[in-house]
Amino acid sequence: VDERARAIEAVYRERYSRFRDVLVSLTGSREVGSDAVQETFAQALRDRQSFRGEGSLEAWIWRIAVRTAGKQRAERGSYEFSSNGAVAPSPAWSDLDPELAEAVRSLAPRQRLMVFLHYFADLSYADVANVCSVSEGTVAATLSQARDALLNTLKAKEFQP
Amino acid sequence: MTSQFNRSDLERRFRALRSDNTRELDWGDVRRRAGEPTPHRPLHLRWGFAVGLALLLGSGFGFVLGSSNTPSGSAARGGELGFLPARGWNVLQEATTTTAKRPVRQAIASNVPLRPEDDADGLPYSTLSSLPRHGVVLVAKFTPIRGERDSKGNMPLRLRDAAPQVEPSAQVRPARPLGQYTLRADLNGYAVDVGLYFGTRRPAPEVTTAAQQQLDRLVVGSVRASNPVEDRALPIRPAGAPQTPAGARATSRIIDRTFRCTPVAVGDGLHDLEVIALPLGSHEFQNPNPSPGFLSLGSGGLSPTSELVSVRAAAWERFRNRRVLEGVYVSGGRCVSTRASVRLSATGLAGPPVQWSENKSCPVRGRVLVRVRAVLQAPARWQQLDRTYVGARRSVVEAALAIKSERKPIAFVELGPAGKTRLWTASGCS
Repeated sequence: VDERARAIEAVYRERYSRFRDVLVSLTGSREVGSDAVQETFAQALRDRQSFRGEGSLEAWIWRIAVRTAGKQRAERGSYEFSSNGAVAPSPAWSDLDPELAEAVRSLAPRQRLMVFLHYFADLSYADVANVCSVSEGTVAATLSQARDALLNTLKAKEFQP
Repeated sequence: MTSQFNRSDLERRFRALRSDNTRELDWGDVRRRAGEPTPHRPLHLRWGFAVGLALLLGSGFGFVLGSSNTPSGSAARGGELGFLPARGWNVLQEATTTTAKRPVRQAIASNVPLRPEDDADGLPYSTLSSLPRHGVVLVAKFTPIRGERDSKGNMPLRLRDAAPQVEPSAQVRPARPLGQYTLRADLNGYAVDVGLYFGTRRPAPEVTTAAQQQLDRLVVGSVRASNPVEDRALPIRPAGAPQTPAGARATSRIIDRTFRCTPVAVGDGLHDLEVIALPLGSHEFQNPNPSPGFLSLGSGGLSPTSELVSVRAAAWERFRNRRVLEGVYVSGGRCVSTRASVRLSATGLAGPPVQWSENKSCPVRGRVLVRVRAVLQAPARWQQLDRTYVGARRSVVEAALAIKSERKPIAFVELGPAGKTRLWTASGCS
């Protein structure tokens, strides 16, 4: 096995839970999300020679993961734009903190993606920027907006009778 | 609530939701989906395989199984690859093929029993994740070298030359970090890449020495007699400390690396070589943007990809609409890391040094050795920076480049903390 395949395997073994949590959250299905993780790493293995070292290997795999999740979503029915309104998928941990899950679901898709990548995948601003093909400044601004939106939603819930 | 308070509160809340379930891990499924060949397990006969190899090689070494703990240093026949097991060690080795055109062989040696779920192909994660403090696992990979390439290593390999892996992402067992090291060498037509894993970041000298004894029994075509084993094993560098310049991947404030570079050929056996020193505030040709303090060894004209090795004290738009960031840049395509020795001094060059903006042409025959030493403002990782260059991206406080042919010094150039430069060149430069 070449070094790059080994490195991909290392990312898989060390970060599997992160990938699964995020992809389950992005696809709204445990089954689809888990399948997307396997598919992500299979594609990373197939395309490993095209990794040019611009940014971290993990960020490169996350790019594939986000793309794969989008593809799976498209193939298995869109959750974002269902016929009865824009409904985001439930995060993988909805049952653990339903309040926060609901707040995250109310975010704009890009804000939600960056929240997942930064807070769950543990990616730095630079890596999130790499995954989303935007600048670090955009990541910082988007996350700041997302945090404000989340806090406003959570605060509003607090004062609800 | 302040914004800061809210933010950390949110972060805590998110962190609490992270799961750590690895039960669903199935790397085999990933490989199958990717169309990778499934590794062939050697008939449950790890020891059998080891014994077979020992017998096979032993016949060439002049010993048999019962004496497989024979001290290292015997001669071997050419062509064999793998580990001969030292006393108390387990060996697992197998030929694998990454692609049909590129056969790679791998061998694993361990002083603890290898877990049954580990293959000879890939890292033995199960064994590594439960490696005790005294445990050692060596993973050697042999890749045939295509074409002609200089042999860049001697057998037996020395543990004291091993570079510690310090990147957190490379740590196999983050919860209880292993002492992870790598050793690389080109030997007898193979690129040999040995990963060394100790159960603790600071292995005891006796553990390190035992690991060296097993490393001595690595066979890559031939083994040579050598000095006492401790001389090759100790002292091992502390895991977590910066690596040696060659092959280093850790962050460091000081870059000190040597490369063998191939300049662009211009005919008649001559290669184009240009040494450039641009002190802070000086202008290069018609460039309206002043230099931030710039040293360069270039070849093949003036273009964004013509630099073999360069140092920029700060970001600078040297070419129109191409703002290049600060740091140390080395052409990945034209330069390879080398352990060759290059003195970082102007000895043998004509003085006094040029202290203003200068561009000297020094045509050479063949390749050149370049040593670059730079003190960065903050630690930076040596990595691929873009398609053309590898290097470290960080503001440079001071730097020096020494350039020589295989025999003679060609140039020496310095960049001081105040942005001043001094350039010495050989008499053949103009």
